[in-house]
Amino acid sequence: MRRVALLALLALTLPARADDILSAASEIDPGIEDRIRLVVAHRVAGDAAALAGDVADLEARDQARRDDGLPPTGLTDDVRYIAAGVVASRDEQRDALHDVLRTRPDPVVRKLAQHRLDADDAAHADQLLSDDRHNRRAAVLNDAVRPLGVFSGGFLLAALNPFLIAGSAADSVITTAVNLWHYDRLSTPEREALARYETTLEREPRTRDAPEIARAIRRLGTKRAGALCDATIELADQAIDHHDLDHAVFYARAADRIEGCEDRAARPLEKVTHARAEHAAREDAGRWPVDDAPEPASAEEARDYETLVVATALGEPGGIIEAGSRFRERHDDSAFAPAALYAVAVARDLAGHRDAGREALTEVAREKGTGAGRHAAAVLASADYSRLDAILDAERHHARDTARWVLLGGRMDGRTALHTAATFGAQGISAAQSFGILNLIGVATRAWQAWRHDPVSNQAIIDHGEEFLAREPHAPEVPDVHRRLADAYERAGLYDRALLHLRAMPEPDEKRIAKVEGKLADKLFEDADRNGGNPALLAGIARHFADTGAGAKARKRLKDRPANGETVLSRDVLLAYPSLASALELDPKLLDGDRDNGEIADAGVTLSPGQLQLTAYNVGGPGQHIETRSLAPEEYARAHAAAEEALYVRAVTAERRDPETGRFEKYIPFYLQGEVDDSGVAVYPGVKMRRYQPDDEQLYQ
Amino acid sequence: MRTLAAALMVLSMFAAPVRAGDATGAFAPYEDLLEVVADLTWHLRDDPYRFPPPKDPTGHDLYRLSLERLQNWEQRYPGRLHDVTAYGRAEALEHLGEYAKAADLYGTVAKLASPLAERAREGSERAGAFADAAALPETGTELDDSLAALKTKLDAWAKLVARYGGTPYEPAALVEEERLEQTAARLVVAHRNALQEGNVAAEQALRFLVQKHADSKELPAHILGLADFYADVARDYVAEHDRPLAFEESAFVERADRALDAYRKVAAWDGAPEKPEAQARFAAFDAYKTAVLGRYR
Repeated sequence: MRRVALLALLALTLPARADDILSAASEIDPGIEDRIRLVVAHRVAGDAAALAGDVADLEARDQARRDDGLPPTGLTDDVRYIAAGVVASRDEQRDALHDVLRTRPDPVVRKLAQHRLDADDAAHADQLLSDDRHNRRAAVLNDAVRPLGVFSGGFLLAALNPFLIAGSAADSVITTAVNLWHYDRLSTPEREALARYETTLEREPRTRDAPEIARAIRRLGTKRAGALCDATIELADQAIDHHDLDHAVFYARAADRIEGCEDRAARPLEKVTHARAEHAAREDAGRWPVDDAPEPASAEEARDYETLVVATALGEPGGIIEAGSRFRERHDDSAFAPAALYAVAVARDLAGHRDAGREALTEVAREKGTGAGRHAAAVLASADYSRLDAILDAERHHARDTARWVLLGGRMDGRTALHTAATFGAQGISAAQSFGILNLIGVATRAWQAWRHDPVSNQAIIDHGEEFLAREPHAPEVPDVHRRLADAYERAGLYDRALLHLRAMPEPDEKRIAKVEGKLADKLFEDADRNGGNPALLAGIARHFADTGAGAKARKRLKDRPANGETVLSRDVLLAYPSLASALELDPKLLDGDRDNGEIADAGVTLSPGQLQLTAYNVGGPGQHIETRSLAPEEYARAHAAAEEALYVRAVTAERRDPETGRFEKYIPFYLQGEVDDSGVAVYPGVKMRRYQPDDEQLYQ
Repeated sequence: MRTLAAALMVLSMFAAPVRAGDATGAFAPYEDLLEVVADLTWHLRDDPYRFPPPKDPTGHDLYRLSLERLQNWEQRYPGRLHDVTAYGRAEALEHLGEYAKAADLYGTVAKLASPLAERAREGSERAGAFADAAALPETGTELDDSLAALKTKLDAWAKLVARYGGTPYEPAALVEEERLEQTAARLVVAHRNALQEGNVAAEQALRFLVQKHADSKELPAHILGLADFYADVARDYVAEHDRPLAFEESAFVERADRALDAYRKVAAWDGAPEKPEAQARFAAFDAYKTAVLGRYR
């Protein structure tokens, strides 16, 4: 019954049709459409004077309406904004935009004008440099204060015993010295500012700011060229240190080609040229036989040795083993005995007897004074020969690095060591207890972090494991390697790869697979959520990980999403854009706040081709209901166009404040921070940094 | 009393100017239309050859957005201010390179009794000329036919570049000319094995692009194209000298380093949209070079 009443209400109280609104406007102000035509014609002609006349005309109309007790047309700010767009130069445009903002325009014009001012490359660059200067100073100050932990208990006790903060003071001084050393290093905001200044001069070479911009370009350009030279030479030096001569040559030559970097490139170039010559000489020498080659002691030894050499050249494992064993039995003391054993080791390996081959190789490697012994030792140490050992070795490294991180922290360097030593020295044995407490907190925190996210890279384990599987897919150790790789991938957060290896095992552990699937689904859901609820990804999670928590969340998210072709207009949007009510032909009573005469609920209106769904509160009782109206194609087209416009205006005028930033936070330049981190407990004040969060940061790194 | 008067004076000094504010009631649709037209106004004289297309505050392509919003306005208020909406749509379409559709819309406005009619006639003639050039074919059955077709089309655009030189419409013609020259260069690169001295011709074509379009926003992309060509030449060398004794390390390194130098130039180009791509390609090709050298040592 209520539904029928509401429908009747909707039918009887339909407002005027959308196109009638403009007829009404023309009746109220007969010349308004002609004025708009003139505005558009003047803006096409780029006639600023005529547009000023249009603004004056609209101001007069507004004044006349105010005199009659009517609201102004509200069009003057829009025409002022158009007029600002046709003036010739950047400087005049910026002045005109400031004038537009001074007249308190409507939110859309204000947003557009502000966006245009902010998007100006030179102004943006000025702001970047100003923020960068502030952040450099703040970083020096904050890093100097932080080690002191001025509001921590330890600092208050320092009033009684100044030595208590000796270590912190040393840390503070060293940190400040390091920061000051790097103070003028080229930053990402400076790179962006340089690019933006250059764009400004390309666009507007005659702007009044040109001399100042040109100076900034010269200063930043010199700094950038210096930074590029430094970085290239550093790459060359690093390559030389790692004996990577190919990269060393490339980067040294690249540095030599950078303008102004030639002198600095000379040294690495010389070093790498010398290193290459040495390397070439070593390689060349290695290809020649030794000067004093051993000789067989007897004709019999020479014959047996020849037999072994021929068998080795033929490459038949049986023949080599037989000839090698015979040689060793008959000529145990021969200078060729280690080489004979080496040949046996190779033959055993070729015959598939890897353990026996390794045993022989280990025995040869003990003969360190012989060429064969050194060669065997090198083979044993190579990852190619001992792939499983290489995996175990990488795992041992990983476990050791993790333990070191948990016990000592991730920043254990000379400075932190000095801090600890100075504090300990100042306090003596009595400090042991407080150190113990702080260290325990730090260790516990780091252990928790290590359990949640592996702090150490698993790449070495993964590389050796994958190589093992690629080279020896049928080895008996394969299941063990799959298990180790699954562990490493899981620790590294690469759950899809971990699952692949878990499933490749001969007897897959279903419980563990389910657990890793849950983690993978959670990670995928996070990605989907970050991308604004990517429907394809959500559908994939719901389908492939149906039994996981993320699967359930994805199903719910998909259910809540508007279907394809649907446009949802919440009650907020309908209230914010009253013109929508007429475009959707809604009774104004549905939005007047009075539930007794019918009221649209928060879910609002959903438009889909040929249909409008309206969620309304029940009249005279609790709950809500949905009403559906069919729309003729032209009604739907009109309603959809109005909805898109309203949603766009809402998107333009939405406040883009960082959700983590409080409304009044920008007025407070300081912060106070307490931390329980991998270094223990610290409470300290600081100067707030200005955030640098461009959309395209990677273009300037 | 004096205090009250003084207070009122002070208040009046600090009072905000009259608020322009939102359009009310029946004027709201005009406000919507003026806002779209206003945003377009700011970019009518943009240089699409040297600078990337403009974006609105939400990050969308401004010309596409304006076109859609004007179409929506026409849906909402059919038949009203048709000359204004049609002219605005024609401007947006012209900037999007849809010259034939733009010419039609300009033509429609030119026939109306509107202050925009005269400008629309000029627009129709201009967009028509652009549309005629754009409609010329770019491909043929054989390589020579394709190159000949491109040459004819390039000549047509060169005439438009000369005719509209120094006007806001010249950059659009330059964009088309650059695109065609890029297509021609790619064609030569793709068929370099079938051409006599193909590698030389391909390199010349790519270098010509870099030199001629040094002011273009596409310059980093052209250098990237040249780097890709050098990388292909290095790969070809490896394929042609596959056997270990045929492979000359220095010959390969010389070719590979030319590619790496070109990639690095773009990889270090602050602000270029191609920078991340160049960094990734540098890393990939550097890994390839290392792998090849490892294989032959």
